[in-house]
Amino acid sequence: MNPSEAPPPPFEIPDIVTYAIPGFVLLILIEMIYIRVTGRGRYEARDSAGSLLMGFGNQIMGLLLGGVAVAGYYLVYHFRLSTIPWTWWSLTLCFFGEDLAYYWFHRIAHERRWFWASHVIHHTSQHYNLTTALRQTWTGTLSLSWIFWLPLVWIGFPPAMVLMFSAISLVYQFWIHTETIDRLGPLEWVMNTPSHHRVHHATNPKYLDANYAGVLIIWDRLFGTFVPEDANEKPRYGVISNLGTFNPFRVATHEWIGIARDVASAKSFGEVVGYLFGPPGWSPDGSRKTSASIKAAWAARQPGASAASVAAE
Amino acid sequence: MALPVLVQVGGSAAVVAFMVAVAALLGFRQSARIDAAALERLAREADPDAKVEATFTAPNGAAGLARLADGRVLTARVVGEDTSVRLTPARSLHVRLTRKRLTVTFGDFGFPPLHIALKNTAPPDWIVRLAGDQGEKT
Repeated sequence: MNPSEAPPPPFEIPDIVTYAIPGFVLLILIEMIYIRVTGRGRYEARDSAGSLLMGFGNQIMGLLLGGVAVAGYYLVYHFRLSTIPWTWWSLTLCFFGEDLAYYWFHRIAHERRWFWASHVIHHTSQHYNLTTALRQTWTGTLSLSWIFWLPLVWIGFPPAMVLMFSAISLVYQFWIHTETIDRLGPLEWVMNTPSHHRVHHATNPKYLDANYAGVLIIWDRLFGTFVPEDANEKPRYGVISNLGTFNPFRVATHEWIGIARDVASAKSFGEVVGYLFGPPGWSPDGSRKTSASIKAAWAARQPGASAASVAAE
Repeated sequence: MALPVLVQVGGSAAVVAFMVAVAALLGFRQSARIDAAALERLAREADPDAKVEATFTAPNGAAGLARLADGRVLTARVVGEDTSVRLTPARSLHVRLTRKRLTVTFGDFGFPPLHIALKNTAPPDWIVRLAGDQGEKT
């Protein structure tokens, strides 16, 4: 468990996210002015304050706890299967591997309540603009969200290489949080774009649980979770039960508190497991809404919906 | 804590304050308003089968409640230029009514207790009953 075990990078890796921050600020200011002038998009000062404070808290938590994830990477790297050098082919493979790991992290973060409790924060704004990109979790490290990248370092990719591509992915995903950019032609086939990510942030039943991509949309197309934006159905942003507060502490912890209350009321070990690792909205009697039940109810309301197709949902 | 870290944290805080100020200066300070029509619409959005029987809105338009035909209550509040709702069985609400204020409390940390200043508005009977059923009317 020693960083010196890993082959050193042939170049100095900059602090990619820190260097990107001035660009983030500039683009947010440009987007605000553009929306003020054109009306294409929405901003609300208190919502933006909430998003930016969540990003600020995420930065503080990264300073306090980020070392835990890095230590975890190096611990697993110590038991690696091979030692992969820094070469063009390993960088290429790691880029795809990191993006695939992100896809599965992101998908499970939506499908399992334990990870959703951290990730939900990113979805709690009813707006969709560049400040929404900075609305980040405070509890990601504590909830072990970083374990999804461990297979890469176990295979033998240097942790610094994996962290570098994670940072690049994070920076890439900033600009896709906007309503000011429409579709981007052939780029939509392979890249995650504003259009694809608007679908991901939408609560319309037809858009739920779709487009988990980080940089490349190919993973959603491959694993059957791709849904294109429908020009006739404008996305409604937020979560199924939108928060009734801008208070960042309530935003950061509301789902964890909900889990704690549910677990405290559980009548069996099975219920505890269900509340912790079932889909968000799971309940023993099925009385609460899950993505699956919402989509099924929506499908049943569509004109021409047959009993068979509803059952298939 | 090392100086560079303090500079980073302080700088970030200043940037957050600056951007929020710019957003406010650009006029992004809209607030939604809840009325009976909004409650009808929000109820339909929450449940397409919902049938609203009665509504009550706060005098300042910042919140409202709707009683549905199936016994559930829709509670709505303004959150910036948007709204947030909870659709719950009446029995799961904790309602407290005084001459000056109606308070509705939920078992949901993401939806803090709702306080409606009544000013000179008398709440309708169904709200009074809702509070009365729970022995909270004072």
